[in-house]
Amino acid sequence: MGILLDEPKFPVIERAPSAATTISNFNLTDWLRVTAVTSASIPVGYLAGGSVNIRGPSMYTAGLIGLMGGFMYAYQCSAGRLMGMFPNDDEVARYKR
Amino acid sequence: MFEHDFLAPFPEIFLINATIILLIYEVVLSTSKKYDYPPLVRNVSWLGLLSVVRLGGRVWENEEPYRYLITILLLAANAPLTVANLFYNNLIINNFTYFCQIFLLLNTASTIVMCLDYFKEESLNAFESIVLILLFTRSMLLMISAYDLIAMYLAIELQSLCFYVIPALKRDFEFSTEAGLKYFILGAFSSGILLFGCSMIYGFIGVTNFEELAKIFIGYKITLFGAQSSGIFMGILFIAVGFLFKITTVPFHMWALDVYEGSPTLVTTFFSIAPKISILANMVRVFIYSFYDPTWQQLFFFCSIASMILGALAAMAQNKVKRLLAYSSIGHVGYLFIGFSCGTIEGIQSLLIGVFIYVLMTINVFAIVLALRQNCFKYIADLGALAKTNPILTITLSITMFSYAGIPPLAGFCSKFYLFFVALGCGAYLLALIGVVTIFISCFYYIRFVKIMYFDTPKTWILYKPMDREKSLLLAITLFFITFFFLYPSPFFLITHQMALSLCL
Repeated sequence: MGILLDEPKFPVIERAPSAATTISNFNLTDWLRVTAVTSASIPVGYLAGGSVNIRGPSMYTAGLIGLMGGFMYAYQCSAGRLMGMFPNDDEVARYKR
Repeated sequence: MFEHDFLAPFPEIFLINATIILLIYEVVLSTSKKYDYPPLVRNVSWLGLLSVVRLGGRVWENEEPYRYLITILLLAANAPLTVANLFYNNLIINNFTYFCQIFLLLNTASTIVMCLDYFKEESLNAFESIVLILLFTRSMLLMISAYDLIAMYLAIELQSLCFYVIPALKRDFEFSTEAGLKYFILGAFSSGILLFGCSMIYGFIGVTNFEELAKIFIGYKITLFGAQSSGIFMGILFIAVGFLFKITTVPFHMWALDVYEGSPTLVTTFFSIAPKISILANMVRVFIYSFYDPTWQQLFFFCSIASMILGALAAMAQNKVKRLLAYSSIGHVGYLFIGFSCGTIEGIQSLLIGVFIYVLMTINVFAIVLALRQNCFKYIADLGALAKTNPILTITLSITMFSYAGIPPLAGFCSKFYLFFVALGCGAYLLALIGVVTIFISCFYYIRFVKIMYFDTPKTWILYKPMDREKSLLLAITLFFITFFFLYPSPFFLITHQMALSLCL
């Protein structure tokens, strides 16, 4: 079991949020993060595949890596808000903590 | 059961997933008739670079998003990073881990940038090398955050297995095959010694966690002649020998020269840079945090002195570039061990500063070696008249060599000055004296580069081709740091001090 040795700086909504709770807590900013990271990755893949004419597969692969990275980044931010590590005014108002 | 544990190592999880995706992508596309069996190395290098750069977004410990950028740039001392123990105390996250991992990822990104053009020039369609580099990076990230002997050993083995393969990348070149085989045999041998040491520690003490070992060894005098203590002594000695093998310290350095020379130049670059960070970080945690005892100081003093002397004297007779840089690497490990063997917070700080600056200089040198490689640049004499054909590259290499030689006010001087300052502070006067003398001796072969570039004529006709954009950018960034580090080193000193404090407190 993980032991956090740092004190939360904001009100704690849930000390150890589950994956379902965290994903359901995604706000607009989190989804924008997912979209932004994925969108930034796709042109990288497209350009990387240009030299050997595999733009399509390269683009999809980079998009997949970007989607995974963006999702994990948004997941971290959402979990951090629920755990009281990040500013979480919206969560406090929603859960009335 | 694992409440927070999978949240903290998200970078490692992301890297594993990205590596699997890339591996499937490579296998499917490289055998694709539709796309005419394309060579994938450059393409996969860019996707690998995308994965590594993406990893830099570790924000879960910080108050605001992108705080990690601010942390790296300016405000390390004020960034309240989270400390956490994960997976039943097998992994730890703190300032020390965080910054070592960020630094490691930057170095991996630099290495991948250097290889973008390399495989095309060598006509090597070895896309699997990028996957191996990513797997190696993942294992080093785990090694830095290991907090248990078992976790540490697993991470070391993960790293080693990836690394055994890539020296033998050039399958039709006998030196490369020889290098791979030598590294495999000696690496397996050193891993076995290290594991034996870990098993002896567990057998005599009953625990493997670093924190518990630290509590047990407080005030406990480890000697060779006590009934139980001798077993513990031998166990720790074996662990030390295993680590010293892997970091190419005298007298366990023999394999490094042939492996560095026989491996493809890109692999030599990676050998010189990446393992030093992770293994030194691990050694600091094991020997300064867990097994803190003056007994080991004598061993590391000896290794430091021997490495500095051998690195200085043996390199003087070398004519081949890679072999000379291998001896230089051994010598620099000796300098880094000055800080390590002092065992103080300032010692750890000087070690971290030394590693950072050494890595920057090595990236710079190997980027130049790779850029000149297409002209059959193997011997130092091949650099003759470089000043006439490529003056900017000559100035770059000259400045880097002066930095290696410790000439002020370059970054190399700053790191060595602080290391010797720390040695004097903890009473290791002999260490500092030998360090200064060996630096003077090493000036000979570093400045020999400058003499050959400016004053010698080449032995054969050489055609110089323009360098690719990525290497140029990398050279510019590293040269900037090497040259202007002395103007504003405070942020970096603050970061390294924070790292050292998080380890000791």
